[in-house]
Amino acid sequence: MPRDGRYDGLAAFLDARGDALLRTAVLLAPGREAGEDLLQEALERLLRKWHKVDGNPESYLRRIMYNRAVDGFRRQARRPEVLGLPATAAVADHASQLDLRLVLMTSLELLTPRQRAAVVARYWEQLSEAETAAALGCSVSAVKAAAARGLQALRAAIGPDMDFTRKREAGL
Amino acid sequence: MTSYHADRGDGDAGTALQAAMSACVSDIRMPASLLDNAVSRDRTRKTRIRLASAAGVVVAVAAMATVIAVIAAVPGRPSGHVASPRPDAGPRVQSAAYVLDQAATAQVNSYRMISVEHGDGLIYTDVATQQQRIVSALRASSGQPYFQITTAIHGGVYAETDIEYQHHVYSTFTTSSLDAGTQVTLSSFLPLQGNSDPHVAFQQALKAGTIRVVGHQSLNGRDTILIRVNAANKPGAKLHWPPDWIWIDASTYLVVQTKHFIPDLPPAPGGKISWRAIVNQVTWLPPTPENLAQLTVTPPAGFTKIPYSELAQKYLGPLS
Repeated sequence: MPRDGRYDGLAAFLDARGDALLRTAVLLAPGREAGEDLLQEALERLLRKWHKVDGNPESYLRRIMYNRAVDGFRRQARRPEVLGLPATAAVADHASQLDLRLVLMTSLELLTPRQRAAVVARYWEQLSEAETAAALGCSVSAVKAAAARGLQALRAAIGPDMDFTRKREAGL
Repeated sequence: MTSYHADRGDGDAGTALQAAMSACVSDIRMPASLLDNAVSRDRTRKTRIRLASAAGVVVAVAAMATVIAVIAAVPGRPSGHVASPRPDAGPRVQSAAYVLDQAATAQVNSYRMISVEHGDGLIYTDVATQQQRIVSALRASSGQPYFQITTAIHGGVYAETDIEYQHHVYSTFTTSSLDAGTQVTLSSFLPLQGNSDPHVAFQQALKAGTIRVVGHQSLNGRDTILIRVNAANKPGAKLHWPPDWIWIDASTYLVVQTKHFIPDLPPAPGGKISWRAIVNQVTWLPPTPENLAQLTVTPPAGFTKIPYSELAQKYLGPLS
Protein backbone atom coordinates (compact mmCIF):
# COMPACT_ATOMS: atom_id res chain seq x y z
CA MET A 1 0.00 0.00 0.00
CA PRO A 2 1.60 3.28 -1.01
CA ARG A 3 2.25 5.75 1.71
CA ASP A 4 1.05 9.30 1.18
CA GLY A 5 3.66 12.00 0.87
CA ARG A 6 1.78 13.86 3.55
CA TYR A 7 3.16 11.38 6.05
CA ASP A 8 6.75 12.16 5.22
CA GLY A 9 6.98 14.38 8.28
CA LEU A 10 5.72 11.59 10.44
CA ALA A 11 8.21 9.17 8.90
CA ALA A 12 11.04 11.54 9.68
CA PHE A 13 9.78 11.95 13.22
CA LEU A 14 9.64 8.17 13.68
CA ASP A 15 13.13 7.80 12.31
CA ALA A 16 14.26 9.96 15.17
CA ARG A 17 11.91 8.93 17.94
CA GLY A 18 10.41 5.60 16.89
CA ASP A 19 12.86 3.46 18.83
CA ALA A 20 12.23 5.34 22.06
CA LEU A 21 8.49 5.17 21.59
CA LEU A 22 8.60 1.46 20.90
CA ARG A 23 10.72 0.83 23.99
CA THR A 24 8.12 2.58 26.09
CA ALA A 25 5.35 0.63 24.34
CA VAL A 26 7.15 -2.66 24.97
CA LEU A 27 7.26 -1.90 28.68
CA LEU A 28 3.67 -0.72 28.77
CA ALA A 29 2.20 -3.65 26.87
CA PRO A 30 4.37 -5.46 28.10
CA GLY A 31 6.27 -7.50 25.55
CA ARG A 32 7.87 -7.00 22.18
CA GLU A 33 4.99 -7.97 19.93
CA ALA A 34 2.37 -6.44 22.17
CA GLY A 35 4.44 -3.27 22.23
CA GLU A 36 4.58 -3.14 18.46
CA ASP A 37 0.83 -3.62 18.34
CA LEU A 38 0.35 -0.85 20.87
CA LEU A 39 2.56 1.59 18.98
CA GLN A 40 1.01 0.65 15.64
CA GLU A 41 -2.45 1.21 17.03
CA ALA A 42 -1.35 4.55 18.42
CA LEU A 43 0.02 5.46 14.99
CA GLU A 44 -3.27 4.52 13.36
CA ARG A 45 -5.10 6.77 15.76
CA LEU A 46 -2.60 9.52 15.13
CA LEU A 47 -3.10 9.21 11.38
CA ARG A 48 -6.81 9.78 11.82
CA LYS A 49 -6.04 13.12 13.44
CA TRP A 50 -2.86 13.86 11.54
CA HIS A 51 -4.24 16.89 9.76
CA LYS A 52 -5.15 18.41 13.09
CA VAL A 53 -1.90 17.72 14.89
CA ASP A 54 0.07 20.86 15.44
CA GLY A 55 3.71 20.67 16.32
CA ASN A 56 5.44 17.64 17.75
CA PRO A 57 3.28 14.51 17.58
CA GLU A 58 5.27 12.76 20.31
CA SER A 59 3.14 13.94 23.20
CA TYR A 60 0.01 12.96 21.31
CA LEU A 61 1.39 9.51 20.56
CA ARG A 62 2.51 8.99 24.12
CA ARG A 63 -0.86 10.02 25.46
CA ILE A 64 -2.58 7.54 23.16
CA MET A 65 -0.22 4.77 24.21
CA TYR A 66 -0.65 5.44 27.90
CA ASN A 67 -4.40 5.77 27.64
CA ARG A 68 -4.68 2.55 25.69
CA ALA A 69 -2.34 0.79 28.09
CA VAL A 70 -4.45 1.87 31.06
CA ASP A 71 -7.74 1.25 29.29
CA GLY A 72 -6.84 -2.36 28.85
CA PHE A 73 -4.86 -2.82 25.70
CA ARG A 74 -4.66 -6.57 26.09
CA ARG A 75 -4.87 -9.31 23.62
CA GLN A 76 -7.40 -11.79 24.84
CA ALA A 77 -5.52 -14.71 23.45
CA ARG A 78 -1.91 -13.74 23.72
CA ARG A 79 0.38 -15.13 21.17
CA PRO A 80 3.37 -16.86 22.64
CA GLU A 81 5.72 -14.04 23.40
CA VAL A 82 8.86 -14.20 21.32
CA LEU A 83 11.59 -12.45 23.16
CA GLY A 84 13.23 -10.42 20.48
CA LEU A 85 16.85 -11.05 19.91
CA PRO A 86 19.11 -8.05 20.30
CA ALA A 87 19.41 -6.17 17.07
CA THR A 88 23.15 -5.83 17.31
CA ALA A 89 25.60 -8.65 17.46
CA ALA A 90 27.74 -6.50 19.70
CA VAL A 91 25.68 -7.40 22.74
CA ALA A 92 28.03 -9.54 24.74
CA ASP A 93 25.69 -11.82 26.56
CA HIS A 94 22.52 -12.57 24.65
CA ALA A 95 21.37 -15.20 27.06
CA SER A 96 21.71 -12.89 30.03
CA GLN A 97 19.79 -10.16 28.33
CA LEU A 98 17.03 -12.49 27.28
CA ASP A 99 16.80 -13.83 30.81
CA LEU A 100 16.67 -10.35 32.23
CA ARG A 101 13.99 -9.40 29.75
CA LEU A 102 11.98 -12.44 30.70
CA VAL A 103 12.21 -11.57 34.38
CA LEU A 104 11.28 -7.96 33.84
CA MET A 105 8.40 -8.63 31.49
CA THR A 106 7.06 -11.34 33.73
CA SER A 107 7.27 -8.99 36.67
CA LEU A 108 5.51 -6.20 34.82
CA GLU A 109 2.77 -8.64 33.92
CA LEU A 110 1.99 -8.89 37.61
CA LEU A 111 0.95 -5.25 37.79
CA THR A 112 -2.39 -3.79 36.90
CA PRO A 113 -2.39 -1.72 33.71
CA ARG A 114 -2.51 1.52 35.67
CA GLN A 115 0.28 0.44 38.02
CA ARG A 116 2.40 -0.62 35.09
CA ALA A 117 1.78 2.63 33.25
CA ALA A 118 2.64 4.63 36.34
CA VAL A 119 5.82 2.64 36.94
CA VAL A 120 6.92 2.97 33.31
CA ALA A 121 6.19 6.67 33.25
CA ARG A 122 7.93 7.36 36.55
CA TYR A 123 10.89 5.04 36.42
CA TRP A 124 11.52 4.53 32.73
CA GLU A 125 10.44 7.80 31.22
CA GLN A 126 11.48 9.71 34.32
CA LEU A 127 8.34 11.77 34.21
CA SER A 128 7.34 13.77 37.23
CA GLU A 129 4.21 12.84 39.11
CA ALA A 130 2.38 15.74 37.51
CA GLU A 131 3.55 14.77 34.03
CA THR A 132 2.55 11.19 34.67
CA ALA A 133 -0.86 12.29 35.88
CA ALA A 134 -1.31 14.30 32.69
CA ALA A 135 -0.27 11.36 30.54
CA LEU A 136 -2.58 8.95 32.32
CA GLY A 137 -5.44 11.37 32.69
CA CYS A 138 -5.68 10.96 36.45
CA SER A 139 -4.79 12.84 39.60
CA VAL A 140 -1.33 13.13 41.09
CA SER A 141 -2.46 11.24 44.13
CA ALA A 142 -3.65 8.42 41.90
CA VAL A 143 -0.22 8.36 40.27
CA LYS A 144 1.47 8.19 43.65
CA ALA A 145 -0.73 5.34 44.73
CA ALA A 146 -0.36 3.40 41.49
CA ALA A 147 3.40 3.83 41.36
CA ALA A 148 3.83 2.89 45.01
CA ARG A 149 1.67 -0.19 44.68
CA GLY A 150 3.41 -1.12 41.47
CA LEU A 151 6.79 -0.93 43.12
CA GLN A 152 5.43 -2.88 46.06
CA ALA A 153 4.25 -5.63 43.75
CA LEU A 154 7.60 -5.69 41.97
CA ARG A 155 9.43 -5.88 45.27
CA ALA A 156 7.26 -8.79 46.26
CA ALA A 157 8.19 -10.54 43.04
CA ILE A 158 11.82 -9.56 42.71
CA GLY A 159 12.89 -8.84 46.24
CA PRO A 160 13.19 -5.76 48.41
CA ASP A 161 16.29 -4.49 46.64
CA MET A 162 14.81 -5.05 43.17
CA ASP A 163 17.88 -6.97 42.10
CA PHE A 164 16.72 -8.34 38.78
CA THR A 165 20.07 -9.91 38.14
CA ARG A 166 19.94 -12.04 41.24
CA LYS A 167 16.37 -13.01 40.53
CA ARG A 168 17.36 -13.93 37.02
CA GLU A 169 20.08 -16.18 38.35
CA ALA A 170 17.58 -17.73 40.72
CA GLY A 171 15.42 -18.51 37.71
CA LEU A 172 12.23 -16.58 38.23
CA MET B 1 12.25 15.68 37.05
CA THR B 2 11.80 12.53 39.05
CA SER B 3 11.43 12.85 42.79
CA TYR B 4 11.96 9.47 44.31
CA HIS B 5 10.82 8.95 47.84
CA ALA B 6 14.01 8.09 49.61
CA ASP B 7 12.25 7.55 52.89
CA ARG B 8 10.39 4.66 51.35
CA GLY B 9 13.46 3.40 49.63
CA ASP B 10 12.03 4.16 46.21
CA GLY B 11 15.22 5.84 45.12
CA ASP B 12 17.29 2.68 45.10
CA ALA B 13 14.45 0.58 43.85
CA GLY B 14 13.65 3.07 41.13
CA THR B 15 17.25 3.21 40.06
CA ALA B 16 17.48 -0.56 39.88
CA LEU B 17 14.20 -0.75 38.01
CA GLN B 18 15.24 1.92 35.55
CA ALA B 19 18.52 0.13 34.96
CA ALA B 20 16.74 -3.16 34.36
CA MET B 21 14.29 -1.56 31.98
CA SER B 22 17.07 0.13 30.10
CA ALA B 23 19.02 -3.10 29.76
CA CYS B 24 15.95 -4.91 28.52
CA VAL B 25 14.79 -2.55 25.83
CA SER B 26 17.92 -0.69 24.80
CA ASP B 27 18.42 -2.94 21.79
CA ILE B 28 14.86 -2.62 20.52
CA ARG B 29 14.47 -0.86 17.22
CA MET B 30 11.24 0.14 15.60
CA PRO B 31 10.57 -1.98 12.49
CA ALA B 32 10.46 0.10 9.34
CA SER B 33 7.19 -1.55 8.43
CA LEU B 34 5.32 -0.27 11.46
CA LEU B 35 4.33 3.04 9.91
CA ASP B 36 3.54 1.37 6.59
CA ASN B 37 1.31 -1.08 8.38
CA ALA B 38 -0.41 1.73 10.23
CA VAL B 39 -0.88 3.73 7.05
CA SER B 40 -2.17 0.68 5.25
CA ARG B 41 -4.65 -0.13 7.97
CA ASP B 42 -5.72 3.48 8.24
CA ARG B 43 -6.31 3.69 4.51
CA THR B 44 -8.21 0.48 4.54
CA ARG B 45 -10.29 1.70 7.42
CA LYS B 46 -11.05 4.95 5.62
CA THR B 47 -11.92 3.16 2.44
CA ARG B 48 -14.11 0.69 4.21
CA ILE B 49 -16.08 3.19 6.17
CA ARG B 50 -16.25 5.84 3.48
CA LEU B 51 -19.60 4.85 2.14
CA ALA B 52 -20.92 3.86 5.51
CA SER B 53 -19.73 7.14 6.91
CA ALA B 54 -21.16 9.08 4.05
CA ALA B 55 -24.46 7.35 4.48
CA GLY B 56 -24.22 7.79 8.20
CA VAL B 57 -23.65 11.46 7.80
CA VAL B 58 -26.43 11.60 5.31
CA VAL B 59 -28.59 10.12 7.94
CA ALA B 60 -27.60 12.95 10.14
CA VAL B 61 -29.32 15.31 7.81
CA ALA B 62 -32.56 14.06 9.20
CA ALA B 63 -31.60 15.57 12.44
CA MET B 64 -31.90 18.92 10.86
CA ALA B 65 -35.30 18.14 9.57
CA THR B 66 -37.28 19.80 12.24
CA VAL B 67 -35.07 22.80 12.23
CA ILE B 68 -34.15 23.51 8.68
CA ALA B 69 -36.25 23.99 5.70
CA VAL B 70 -38.59 21.60 4.14
CA ILE B 71 -37.10 20.12 1.05
CA ALA B 72 -38.83 21.24 -2.04
CA ALA B 73 -40.02 18.48 -4.25
CA VAL B 74 -43.25 20.02 -5.27
CA PRO B 75 -43.67 19.83 -9.01
CA GLY B 76 -43.90 23.21 -10.53
CA ARG B 77 -42.50 24.99 -7.55
CA PRO B 78 -40.53 28.01 -8.75
CA SER B 79 -37.16 27.01 -7.40
CA GLY B 80 -33.85 26.29 -8.99
CA HIS B 81 -33.70 23.04 -7.05
CA VAL B 82 -37.12 21.78 -8.00
CA ALA B 83 -36.95 18.32 -9.45
CA SER B 84 -38.83 17.21 -12.48
CA PRO B 85 -42.11 15.67 -11.46
CA ARG B 86 -42.06 11.91 -11.36
CA PRO B 87 -44.88 10.30 -13.29
CA ASP B 88 -46.15 8.36 -10.32
CA ALA B 89 -45.81 11.09 -7.81
CA GLY B 90 -48.36 13.68 -7.03
CA PRO B 91 -47.58 16.99 -5.43
CA ARG B 92 -45.95 16.42 -2.06
CA VAL B 93 -43.45 17.81 0.30
CA GLN B 94 -40.36 15.96 1.45
CA SER B 95 -38.86 17.02 4.71
CA ALA B 96 -35.22 16.54 5.45
CA ALA B 97 -36.29 13.94 7.96
CA TYR B 98 -38.12 12.04 5.26
CA VAL B 99 -35.16 12.22 2.90
CA LEU B 100 -32.79 11.00 5.52
CA ASP B 101 -35.12 8.30 6.67
CA GLN B 102 -35.21 6.99 3.13
CA ALA B 103 -31.44 7.30 2.89
CA ALA B 104 -31.10 5.30 6.09
CA THR B 105 -33.25 2.56 4.67
CA ALA B 106 -31.23 2.61 1.48
CA GLN B 107 -28.05 2.29 3.47
CA VAL B 108 -29.37 -0.75 5.26
CA ASN B 109 -30.50 -2.26 1.98
CA SER B 110 -27.10 -1.60 0.41
CA TYR B 111 -25.77 -4.20 2.80
CA ARG B 112 -26.55 -6.77 0.13
CA MET B 113 -24.97 -4.92 -2.75
CA ILE B 114 -21.64 -4.20 -4.35
CA SER B 115 -20.63 -0.58 -4.67
CA VAL B 116 -18.36 0.68 -7.40
CA GLU B 117 -16.63 3.99 -6.80
CA HIS B 118 -15.39 5.74 -9.90
CA GLY B 119 -12.85 8.32 -8.93
CA ASP B 120 -9.10 8.11 -9.14
CA GLY B 121 -9.45 4.53 -10.29
CA LEU B 122 -12.10 2.05 -9.33
CA ILE B 123 -13.02 0.59 -5.98
CA TYR B 124 -15.31 -2.42 -5.83
CA THR B 125 -16.72 -3.07 -2.37
CA ASP B 126 -18.90 -5.89 -1.18
CA VAL B 127 -20.76 -3.95 1.46
CA ALA B 128 -21.66 -7.03 3.47
CA THR B 129 -18.14 -8.39 3.83
CA GLN B 130 -16.16 -5.28 2.94
CA GLN B 131 -14.10 -7.33 0.54
CA GLN B 132 -12.58 -4.90 -1.91
CA ARG B 133 -10.69 -4.57 -5.14
CA ILE B 134 -8.95 -1.31 -5.94
CA VAL B 135 -7.90 -0.69 -9.53
CA SER B 136 -5.57 2.20 -10.21
CA ALA B 137 -6.37 4.75 -12.87
CA LEU B 138 -2.69 5.02 -13.68
CA ARG B 139 -1.69 2.62 -16.42
CA ALA B 140 1.44 0.54 -16.83
CA SER B 141 3.25 0.60 -20.13
CA SER B 142 1.40 -2.56 -21.05
CA GLY B 143 -1.89 -0.74 -20.76
CA GLN B 144 -2.89 -2.69 -17.69
CA PRO B 145 -3.68 -0.91 -14.45
CA TYR B 146 -0.45 0.14 -12.77
CA PHE B 147 -1.56 -1.73 -9.68
CA GLN B 148 -4.48 -3.56 -8.20
CA ILE B 149 -5.12 -4.21 -4.54
CA THR B 150 -7.54 -6.68 -3.06
CA THR B 151 -8.42 -6.87 0.60
CA ALA B 152 -10.62 -9.23 2.53
CA ILE B 153 -11.35 -10.27 6.06
CA HIS B 154 -12.01 -13.93 6.62
CA GLY B 155 -12.01 -15.68 9.97
CA GLY B 156 -10.70 -12.62 11.74
CA VAL B 157 -7.68 -12.32 9.49
CA TYR B 158 -7.12 -9.33 7.27
CA ALA B 159 -5.50 -10.30 3.98
CA GLU B 160 -4.25 -7.97 1.28
CA THR B 161 -2.79 -8.72 -2.13
CA ASP B 162 -1.01 -6.00 -4.07
CA ILE B 163 -0.12 -6.51 -7.71
CA GLU B 164 2.15 -4.08 -9.53
CA TYR B 165 1.95 -4.55 -13.28
CA GLN B 166 4.74 -2.25 -14.39
CA HIS B 167 7.48 -4.36 -12.83
CA HIS B 168 5.55 -7.65 -12.73
CA VAL B 169 5.73 -8.03 -8.96
CA TYR B 170 3.19 -8.71 -6.28
CA SER B 171 2.96 -9.10 -2.54
CA THR B 172 0.61 -10.40 0.07
CA PHE B 173 0.06 -9.13 3.57
CA THR B 174 -1.93 -10.65 6.37
CA THR B 175 -2.43 -9.63 9.95
CA SER B 176 -4.52 -10.62 12.87
CA SER B 177 -2.49 -8.87 15.50
CA LEU B 178 -5.40 -6.75 16.64
CA ASP B 179 -8.10 -9.31 16.17
CA ALA B 180 -8.30 -10.33 19.74
CA GLY B 181 -8.01 -6.87 21.21
CA THR B 182 -10.64 -6.02 23.73
CA GLN B 183 -11.57 -2.81 22.00
CA VAL B 184 -10.09 -2.73 18.53
CA THR B 185 -11.16 -5.55 16.31
CA LEU B 186 -11.13 -6.03 12.61
CA SER B 187 -14.86 -6.50 12.65
CA SER B 188 -15.20 -2.93 13.78
CA PHE B 189 -14.29 -1.96 10.25
CA LEU B 190 -17.39 -3.65 8.94
CA PRO B 191 -20.47 -1.55 8.37
CA LEU B 192 -23.52 -1.84 10.53
CA GLN B 193 -21.47 -3.39 13.31
CA GLY B 194 -21.18 -0.53 15.71
CA ASN B 195 -23.15 2.60 16.20
CA SER B 196 -24.79 1.95 12.92
CA ASP B 197 -28.49 2.28 13.13
CA PRO B 198 -28.75 4.98 10.51
CA HIS B 199 -31.95 6.29 12.00
CA VAL B 200 -30.23 6.77 15.34
CA ALA B 201 -27.36 8.41 13.56
CA PHE B 202 -29.85 10.87 12.08
CA GLN B 203 -30.85 11.95 15.52
CA GLN B 204 -27.26 12.27 16.64
CA ALA B 205 -26.47 14.37 13.62
CA LEU B 206 -29.51 16.50 14.29
CA LYS B 207 -28.10 17.34 17.67
CA ALA B 208 -24.71 18.00 16.14
CA GLY B 209 -26.27 20.29 13.56
CA THR B 210 -23.52 19.68 11.08
CA ILE B 211 -25.40 18.81 7.94
CA ARG B 212 -28.29 20.03 5.87
CA VAL B 213 -30.30 18.88 2.92
CA VAL B 214 -29.76 21.41 0.17
CA GLY B 215 -32.40 20.17 -2.21
CA HIS B 216 -32.90 18.44 -5.51
CA GLN B 217 -30.31 18.78 -8.20
CA SER B 218 -30.04 17.29 -11.64
CA LEU B 219 -26.84 15.34 -11.98
CA ASN B 220 -26.15 14.27 -15.55
CA GLY B 221 -29.86 14.19 -16.13
CA ARG B 222 -30.51 12.21 -12.97
CA ASP B 223 -32.71 13.52 -10.21
CA THR B 224 -30.61 13.63 -7.04
CA ILE B 225 -30.80 15.22 -3.63
CA LEU B 226 -27.79 17.21 -2.58
CA ILE B 227 -26.62 17.09 1.01
CA ARG B 228 -24.02 19.29 2.59
CA VAL B 229 -21.88 17.97 5.43
CA ASN B 230 -20.02 20.60 7.36
CA ALA B 231 -16.57 19.68 8.58
CA ALA B 232 -16.05 19.54 12.30
CA ASN B 233 -13.50 22.32 12.38
CA LYS B 234 -12.17 23.15 15.78
CA PRO B 235 -11.95 26.80 16.76
CA GLY B 236 -8.47 28.08 16.16
CA ALA B 237 -7.47 25.18 13.95
CA LYS B 238 -4.98 26.06 11.26
CA LEU B 239 -6.91 24.20 8.63
CA HIS B 240 -10.52 25.10 8.13
CA TRP B 241 -11.88 22.21 6.11
CA PRO B 242 -14.57 22.84 3.52
CA PRO B 243 -17.80 20.88 3.70
CA ASP B 244 -18.34 17.55 1.98
CA TRP B 245 -21.11 17.19 -0.57
CA ILE B 246 -23.15 14.06 -1.13
CA TRP B 247 -25.64 13.40 -3.88
CA ILE B 248 -28.19 10.67 -3.33
CA ASP B 249 -30.53 9.31 -5.95
CA ALA B 250 -33.96 10.86 -5.53
CA SER B 251 -35.65 7.52 -6.16
CA THR B 252 -33.42 4.93 -4.53
CA TYR B 253 -31.79 7.27 -2.00
CA LEU B 254 -28.46 5.52 -2.55
CA VAL B 255 -25.33 7.62 -2.69
CA VAL B 256 -24.44 8.33 -6.32
CA GLN B 257 -21.73 10.95 -5.97
CA THR B 258 -19.50 12.39 -3.25
CA LYS B 259 -17.26 15.40 -3.25
CA HIS B 260 -14.71 16.23 -0.62
CA PHE B 261 -11.63 18.38 -0.47
CA ILE B 262 -8.05 17.78 0.50
CA PRO B 263 -5.48 20.49 1.13
CA ASP B 264 -2.64 21.08 -1.27
CA LEU B 265 0.34 20.96 1.00
CA PRO B 266 2.63 22.57 1.75
CA PRO B 267 0.77 25.87 1.79
CA ALA B 268 1.68 28.56 -0.68
CA PRO B 269 3.96 31.38 0.50
CA GLY B 270 1.92 33.43 2.89
CA GLY B 271 0.32 30.37 4.38
CA LYS B 272 -2.77 30.35 2.20
CA ILE B 273 -4.02 26.83 1.65
CA SER B 274 -5.78 25.81 -1.52
CA TRP B 275 -8.14 22.89 -1.63
CA ARG B 276 -8.44 20.20 -4.24
CA ALA B 277 -11.83 18.66 -4.88
CA ILE B 278 -12.09 14.89 -5.00
CA VAL B 279 -15.21 13.68 -6.75
CA ASN B 280 -16.30 10.06 -6.77
CA GLN B 281 -19.24 8.60 -8.60
CA VAL B 282 -20.86 5.55 -7.08
CA THR B 283 -22.81 2.84 -8.82
CA TRP B 284 -24.42 -0.18 -7.23
CA LEU B 285 -24.42 -3.79 -8.39
CA PRO B 286 -26.38 -6.80 -7.21
CA PRO B 287 -24.22 -9.59 -5.74
CA THR B 288 -24.41 -11.88 -8.71
CA PRO B 289 -21.57 -14.37 -9.25
CA GLU B 290 -20.31 -12.23 -12.11
CA ASN B 291 -20.26 -9.12 -9.98
CA LEU B 292 -18.72 -10.88 -6.98
CA ALA B 293 -15.94 -12.04 -9.27
CA GLN B 294 -14.99 -8.40 -9.68
CA LEU B 295 -13.76 -8.40 -6.08
CA THR B 296 -10.84 -10.72 -6.64
CA VAL B 297 -7.78 -10.76 -8.82
CA THR B 298 -5.00 -13.30 -9.17
CA PRO B 299 -1.37 -12.36 -9.79
CA PRO B 300 -0.59 -13.21 -13.41
CA ALA B 301 1.75 -16.09 -14.13
CA GLY B 302 5.37 -15.03 -14.18
CA PHE B 303 4.95 -12.23 -11.66
CA THR B 304 7.48 -12.31 -8.82
CA LYS B 305 6.37 -12.33 -5.23
CA ILE B 306 8.32 -9.86 -3.11
CA PRO B 307 8.08 -8.72 0.52
CA TYR B 308 5.20 -6.41 1.29
CA SER B 309 7.47 -3.70 2.65
CA GLU B 310 9.54 -3.73 -0.54
CA LEU B 311 6.49 -3.42 -2.71
CA ALA B 312 5.06 -0.64 -0.59
CA GLN B 313 8.23 1.39 -0.41
CA LYS B 314 10.04 0.68 -3.65
CA TYR B 315 7.25 0.28 -6.17
CA LEU B 316 4.00 1.74 -4.87
CA GLY B 317 5.41 4.31 -2.49
CA PRO B 318 6.80 6.58 -5.22
CA LEU B 319 3.33 6.78 -6.74
CA SER B 320 1.99 8.54 -3.69
